[in-house]
Amino acid sequence: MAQKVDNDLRFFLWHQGSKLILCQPLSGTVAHALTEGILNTEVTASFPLFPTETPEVETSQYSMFDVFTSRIVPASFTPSEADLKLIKLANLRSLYLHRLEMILQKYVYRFCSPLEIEMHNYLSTLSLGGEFNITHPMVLEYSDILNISNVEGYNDLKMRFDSYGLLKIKAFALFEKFKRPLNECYTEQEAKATLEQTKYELYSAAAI
Amino acid sequence: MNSTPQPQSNKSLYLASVADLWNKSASDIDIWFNFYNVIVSHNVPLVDRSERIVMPYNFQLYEHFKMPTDLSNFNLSYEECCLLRAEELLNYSTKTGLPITLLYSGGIDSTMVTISFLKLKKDLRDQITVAMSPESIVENPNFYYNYIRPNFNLRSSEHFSSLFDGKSILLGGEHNDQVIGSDIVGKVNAKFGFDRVHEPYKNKFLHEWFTTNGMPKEYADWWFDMLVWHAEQAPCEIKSFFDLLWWLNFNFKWQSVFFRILLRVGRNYRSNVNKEFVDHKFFHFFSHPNFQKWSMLNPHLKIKNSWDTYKFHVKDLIFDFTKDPVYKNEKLKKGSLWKLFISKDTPVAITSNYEYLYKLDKTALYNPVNTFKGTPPWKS
Repeated sequence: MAQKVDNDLRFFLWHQGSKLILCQPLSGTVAHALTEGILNTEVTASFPLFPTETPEVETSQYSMFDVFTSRIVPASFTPSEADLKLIKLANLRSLYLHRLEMILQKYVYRFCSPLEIEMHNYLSTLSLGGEFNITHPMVLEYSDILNISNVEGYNDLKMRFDSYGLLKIKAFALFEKFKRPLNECYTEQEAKATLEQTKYELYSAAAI
Repeated sequence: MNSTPQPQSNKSLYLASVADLWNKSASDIDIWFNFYNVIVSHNVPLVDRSERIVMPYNFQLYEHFKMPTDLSNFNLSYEECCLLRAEELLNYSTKTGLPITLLYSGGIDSTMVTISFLKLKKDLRDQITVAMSPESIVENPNFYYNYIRPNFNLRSSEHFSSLFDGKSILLGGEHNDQVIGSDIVGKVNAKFGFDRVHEPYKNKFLHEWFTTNGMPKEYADWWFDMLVWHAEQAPCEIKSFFDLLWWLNFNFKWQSVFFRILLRVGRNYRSNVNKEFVDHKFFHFFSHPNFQKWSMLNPHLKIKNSWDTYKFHVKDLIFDFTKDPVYKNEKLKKGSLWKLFISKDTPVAITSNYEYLYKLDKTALYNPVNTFKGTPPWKS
C-alpha cells in the first residue's frame, strides 16, 4: 500500500462534472480507491509547501476544484440534491475504506517494523536487478558487522526480505480484494456489514 | 477451483469446515453441530481414531491414524522418541535423495524438533532448510541466532504454498499439542483458574464447562456421557478433567490437525497434494506412534499445577540443550499457524481422494447410520 508522503499532505476527491469536492480522504490509498467506486471523480493533493492552496476549505461549507489554477476554492453555487447525495456517499465510503486500510496497516505493523519495511524497499531494488547475492557488498558488510559467515548473512537477509515482501503484497492484495464490496455500499448499515464480513473473511478461514 | 461440481454422495471427507453442514431440523446433526458452536472451531471436525463414534457426515479416518492399542513393552522416554524420529527422517532423506524442509515457528514444538536434529548432527545445511519468518525469530531470538542461523539453510515461510512443490520432504511440528494435552485447558484456566483442572473427570466439570459455554443441558449430557464412555475403553487410564480433555484432543482432533495445513495450500500447488505426496513427502514430527504411546503412558509429564507448566517436560529438554532459563521459565504456548492461513482462498473440505471442495452438499454427504441418532451405545 502507498505510504503517506507527509503527515500534512491532504487529499481531495473531486467530481469532474460539478467540480465539487466530495470528500477529504484520510490517505491517498483511500482517495484512489474511491475513484473506482464513484464515476467521474479524480484525486488531487494539497502539499504543505504551498499553504495558500487550501485555507478557503476551512471557512467554506462546500468547496470545489478550480481546474485552471489547480486550487481548492469555495463552491460558487449551491450543490444540488444529487450533488449532496454524492458528497454523503463519498464520505461514507471514505470512512469505511480508511477503516479497512487501518486493519491492514495494523496487520503489516504487527509483524514488521518501519525500519524493516524501509530496508525491504531498498533490497527490493537490488533483487529486481539480480544484484542481491552472497557476494554483494551489503551482504558482506552485514555479515562482517554481525560477525557471521557470508552464507549466514545472505540466508538471514533473504529470509527476512522475502517475508516482508510477501507480507506487503498480502496486505495490498487484501485491500484490492475488499475495496470493491465497500465501493458498492450505499448506506452505513451496508458498509458496517461489509466491513464485518471483511474481518470475518480475513480471520475465519485461519481459525484452527 | 472445480468449475463443474461433481455429486458428493460417494465422497468421504478427511477434513471439512462444518459451518455449512448444520441442519437444525435433524436432531442428530444438531447435537453434533452444537459442539462446534460451543467448544471447538468449525474448522476442526472430530474424527474418531478409535472408530467407535460414527459422525453424521461421511468423514473417513486416514489409514495411518488408527489409534495404537498395544502399549506392551513400550518404555521409550520422550527424548528417545525425538532422537529416533529425527534419525529416521534423516535416513529417509538420505535414502530418497530429498532434502527436508522444516516448518519452524519458534514455538516450543518446532524448537524441540530442531534440537532433536542438532543432537544428531551439526551444520545441517546440506539436508535441512528451515522455513520461517521474522516472527519466528521473535518467538525465540536466542535460539535463532545461536542455532538456526549457523546450522540450517533458511527460507521464508510466508508463501507457504510454494513449499508444497514436491521437491523436498515437508516436515511440520504438529501433533505435539495432541500428545501433551489440550489448548482448551488454557481457556478453562483463564475462566475458572487452574484448581479444577486436575479434578477427577467424574466430578462432571467438563459437563459444567459445556453448559457454561452455552451448550443445552441435554446436548451436554450426550457429549459428556459419550466422552466418558469412550475414555473408559481407551488403551490407557484416564482419570482427571485434564486427561479427558487430552483424550478429546488426542483421539478426535488428530486428523484435522494433520490436514489443516493441506487444506490451505494455494491453488497453484494443490495438484501436488495427492496420496503419494501425503504418504511419502509430508510428515509431522510428533505423529509417530512412539509419541502416541509415550503420551498414553506418561500423563505425569504433561502439566503440573499451573497453566505455565504445560509442556514442562519438553521445555526442560529444550533448556538442557540451550541453557536458556528465560525461555524455559517464561515461554507460553502460542498458536502460530493462523498467520499463514490468513485470508487464503480456502476451500471448505478435502476429500479422501485429495479433492478440494468449495461447497458441501449436506444432503449427499449425510450419513444416516450414525451414533448421534437413536439410542447411543453407552445407554444400550
